[in-house]
Amino acid sequence: MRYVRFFIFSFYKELLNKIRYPINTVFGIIGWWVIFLLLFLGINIFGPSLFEGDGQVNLIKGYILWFMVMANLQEISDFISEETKIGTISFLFVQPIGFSWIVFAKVINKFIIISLELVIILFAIMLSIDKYVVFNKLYVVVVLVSMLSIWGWALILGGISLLIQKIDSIVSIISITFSLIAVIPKEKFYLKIIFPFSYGMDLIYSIDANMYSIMQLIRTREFIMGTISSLAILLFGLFVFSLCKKTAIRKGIIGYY
Amino acid sequence: MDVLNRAEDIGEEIVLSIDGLSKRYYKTKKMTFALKDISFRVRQGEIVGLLGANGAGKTTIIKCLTGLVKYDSGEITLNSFKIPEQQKHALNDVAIVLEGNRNLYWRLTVMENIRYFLSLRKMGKPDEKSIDEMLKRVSLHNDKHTLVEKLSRGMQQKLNIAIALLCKAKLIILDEPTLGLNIIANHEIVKLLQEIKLQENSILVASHDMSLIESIVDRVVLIKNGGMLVDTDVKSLRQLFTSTAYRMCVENKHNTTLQRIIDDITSKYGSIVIDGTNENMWQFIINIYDKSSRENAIELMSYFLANDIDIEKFERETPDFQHIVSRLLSRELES
Repeated sequence: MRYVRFFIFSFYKELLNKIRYPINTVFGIIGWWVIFLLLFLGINIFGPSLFEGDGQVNLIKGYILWFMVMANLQEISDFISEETKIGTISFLFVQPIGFSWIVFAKVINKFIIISLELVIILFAIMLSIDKYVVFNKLYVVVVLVSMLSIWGWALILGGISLLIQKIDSIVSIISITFSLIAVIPKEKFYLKIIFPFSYGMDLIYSIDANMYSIMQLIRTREFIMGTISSLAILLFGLFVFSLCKKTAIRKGIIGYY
Repeated sequence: MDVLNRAEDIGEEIVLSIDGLSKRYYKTKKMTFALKDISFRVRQGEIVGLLGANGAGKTTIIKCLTGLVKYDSGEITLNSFKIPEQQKHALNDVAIVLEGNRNLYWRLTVMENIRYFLSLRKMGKPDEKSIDEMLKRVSLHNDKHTLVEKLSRGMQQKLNIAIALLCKAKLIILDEPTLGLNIIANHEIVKLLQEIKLQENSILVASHDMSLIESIVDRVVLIKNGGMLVDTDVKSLRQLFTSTAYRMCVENKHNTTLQRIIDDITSKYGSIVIDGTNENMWQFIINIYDKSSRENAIELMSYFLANDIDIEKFERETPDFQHIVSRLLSRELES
């Protein structure tokens, strides 16, 4: 019961943060609004070459997925850096609920909030310009499976940030790498499957091209391999995070900034 | 270690037990001991002060016992659970206030902070009535919807302690609770901790604030350079010095040059400490460790009388706690 209570209050705290930093929140929403508006109006200035397919709809889907990947990829490392900066990280480490659970609640809650924001902004734009994009319900499955590997990568970055505190440059390099790998055809680089954005986009194109049902989708080799690799990356991320946590405790550097 | 006799275990429930705790750090392949063979216990209802200069190892002990730092050897048992193996279980009954402003979210209100940090604990839904009562007790009731960033440092520290108390933990650990506070806030925190003393919680307080330690603790564990110097109760510590120190004040009515007197008496009575002087009045502390020093004191009185210097005061010194600790840390006692 206490885990549920903590989870709910953690969600509430995330919302409070949105309210307590109003300028940042408003400008964040305006930024998304402008980008999506431009995408919906067909102005392809956001690097369509990065996304497979040349349609405006694909571009919008690609951007949404890319945004989800980037926002969640640095969530844990940002959280650790922020808590280290304000000085509360040591205090979170000594709470009986456990630091890992605090990180878990933070990641899930942030994912829910980002998803809600995206959905609301997208629908608001579609309504305001009377132009609609049809999203297949199976995209939700793709996003969730992609998230597993994103969280795996995020745990790796979070673990590193426990050791070296500031990892902005590493995150930037990984973000660029993810984006660049997306344009390589999967036939030429099969390891693409371990990069969440590339995998997700490929799967979305497959769903669109083949009009899969859920049962057909989960039987595809692409989906099975992608899910297995996502789970493997998540497990590897958990392992790396735990290792980095132990190293930081051994070295006594938790909370150093 | 153990310069003074250690307090005997008296069979009460032991909340915290530290045995032979050691921690080493390596800096460019050079090994440094952060902690060396530290052992002490905290019993149910007892308030133990962890005292030492900056960098002595107080915070490292707290970090080791809360699992923030892995120690190299020794054993820590907290609420009957081993640290770090059973850390989560052990911390259920421990409330911690870490040093500095590290325990609160400044962009949340007082109530939001309380609710958030209580939600991290294994306890039922916090009862609004007891939260209100606690806020009244720490004089934060009118600020419960105020953002923490708008509170003074003293009020923030009171909130930290209020949260710790609301956890209803067996052991409260306070690391430098008065650090960075002004005199008024310091006084308020000391007063609050004195009130807590009347409850059943055990408290381990690490500080180099002597007045805080003196006013609230039952027992002192003195740390120096990572090693343990003393583990004893405050009364014994004070008694040890009460019986050996005398203070003498003399009036310099003939304007005798200070330097001549100092030279004269220090050449004859080496154990005398000249504690303070002003234009007309000199104060001497005479530490009497043995018979010869006592004779020195009598001789010194004779010296002043012979030089027509009036003795204004000759009294047993009530030792200042800070003085006691300073002397212990400067290894005066060991010599």
